[in-house]
Amino acid sequence: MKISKKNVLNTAELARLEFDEETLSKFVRQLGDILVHIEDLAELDTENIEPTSHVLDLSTPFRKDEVIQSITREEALRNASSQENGFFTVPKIIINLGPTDDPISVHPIIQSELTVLPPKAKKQD
Amino acid sequence: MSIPRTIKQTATLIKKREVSPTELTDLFLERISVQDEKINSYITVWKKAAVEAALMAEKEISRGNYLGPLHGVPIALKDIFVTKNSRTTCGSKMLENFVAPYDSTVAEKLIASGSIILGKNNMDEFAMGSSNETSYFGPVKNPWDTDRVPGGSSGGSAAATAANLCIASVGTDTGGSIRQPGSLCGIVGMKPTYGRVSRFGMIAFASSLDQAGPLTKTVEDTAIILSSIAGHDPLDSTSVNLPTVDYASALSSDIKGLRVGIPKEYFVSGMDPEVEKSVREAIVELETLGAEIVEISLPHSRYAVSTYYIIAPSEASSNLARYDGVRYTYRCEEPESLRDLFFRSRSEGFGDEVKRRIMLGTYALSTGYYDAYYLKAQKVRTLIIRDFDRAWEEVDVIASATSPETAFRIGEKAEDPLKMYLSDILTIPCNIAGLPGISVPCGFSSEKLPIGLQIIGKPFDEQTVLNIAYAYEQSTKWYEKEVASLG
Repeated sequence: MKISKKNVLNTAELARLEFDEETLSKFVRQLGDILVHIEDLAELDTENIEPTSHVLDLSTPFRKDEVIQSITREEALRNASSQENGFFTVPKIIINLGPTDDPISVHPIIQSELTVLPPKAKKQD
Repeated sequence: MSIPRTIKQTATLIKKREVSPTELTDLFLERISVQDEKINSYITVWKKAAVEAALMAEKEISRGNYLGPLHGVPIALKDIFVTKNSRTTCGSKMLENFVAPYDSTVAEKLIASGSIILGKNNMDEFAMGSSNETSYFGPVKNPWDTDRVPGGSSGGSAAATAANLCIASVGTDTGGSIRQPGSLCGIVGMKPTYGRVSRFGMIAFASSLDQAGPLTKTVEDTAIILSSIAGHDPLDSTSVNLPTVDYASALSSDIKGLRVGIPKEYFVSGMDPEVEKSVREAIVELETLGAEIVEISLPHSRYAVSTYYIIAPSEASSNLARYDGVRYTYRCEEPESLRDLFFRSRSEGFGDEVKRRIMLGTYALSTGYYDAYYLKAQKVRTLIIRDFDRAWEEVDVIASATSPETAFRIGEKAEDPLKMYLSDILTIPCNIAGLPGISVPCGFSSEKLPIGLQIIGKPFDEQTVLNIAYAYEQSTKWYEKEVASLG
């Protein structure tokens, strides 16, 4: 099955990727070719076949619940391109207290609260 | 002293005190600095750390504390194994400046064995590629012909080993990434059974398929490295708690009576006739050495590539979600919002092949497509495994070509991902079933390009795989043919 441009755009949204027009049309074509190739699996009757997610018989190994030396906070932060007071920093998540146009920049829980709250901050202004 | 090429030769020289680890390390660092610009097989060279490690090895050895055949031997690591001594890039802009706070188990074990790590080998970005053209740090070139690819994704490890810019290297294999470059560069490369070697600190691509293994000039050297890196690791819950043996001491070229299966499906259409000829001659050689040749069938092999290109990208899309621009990766300049930070860091930090696979995997796992793609592929995975299970009732190992062709030209397949994916057609089934597999040189084409023979074994039966490869290698001695000096 070929993939539509709309499908590629939806998938890019899920994968947190964006493309320029040229790459987008290249990807529509290349992903389409690959998806057509893998359609050969449909010829196989797998109705009563168990799926294999892993080749080994895995069980969850347990260990004693003991405090062990792990990496330090400094080590954990060493590769961060932006940090402050022992935390990773990111752009401000809440831009203003009113409803926002950008759903992904606000955590869904925060966002749902924002939409039910009257824009108090603005009134006080 | 002629420059040693194998672990065995190097260890003998060191033991006899004919060369010291520091002399050797200096020699190899010098070779890298002069020759590597021709093949680009290293991303980072450990100039200082290697010399320090060599000094330490020298002291230990002169004190009589000889640790074994890797002690003082200069080797390299694919830049997918994290090391606290240097950055680990995984061939990506995303991790260009990443320094891990810990060592991977493979690195730790190799350091503990006394080997000298010269540096980190170039590779396809996040191990996604069959030609080493997807590296952010530029393509690796095949030392037999620098207009051609070395294979991938462990192309830097294979090229550096073949050109003797290290005695040996350790790479990783998700769909053929050790065996295929081993074949294209005329050296030995082995993927052990899934679970044999710890994946702790090995940057994840497809977690149910990834496995680490050696790239060396001889089968015996592969056995030596495998003995050093194999074994249970509490830090990897998929590493198997089975006893490991000293594969090198147990090596035997007596293969009389062993049954070698030849799957008729593995002589695929479009196979290079010179490759087919060499592999058929190798099979005759195995028969001469006393093995019994049995024709077998692995009917679902032809679905392996499709299965792989659903399962591997699906696992990759999930594994690579962690590269978000926040904690330890590339971060875009002046992000306007968190959304902008995620989207731009990922889009600027990943190359096209990685994006293609993330897209493919995300699509295969997304609502409405999961059953048709991912679940279907997992069911076909079961069918492919059953093919092998049936084969093991009749044979001890399976033999085929490693790659249906010799090294192709740089750029030849770069714009056609599907064509590139099909170059792993003979190596992928082994990963899908988690089996051990080796590639051992079995001749050269008329253009003087190396050809590889693949031997696949039963789960955790690395020894039989090594023995067959060893018997073949010792009677044909293809490894004696060296790459001409790169200048």
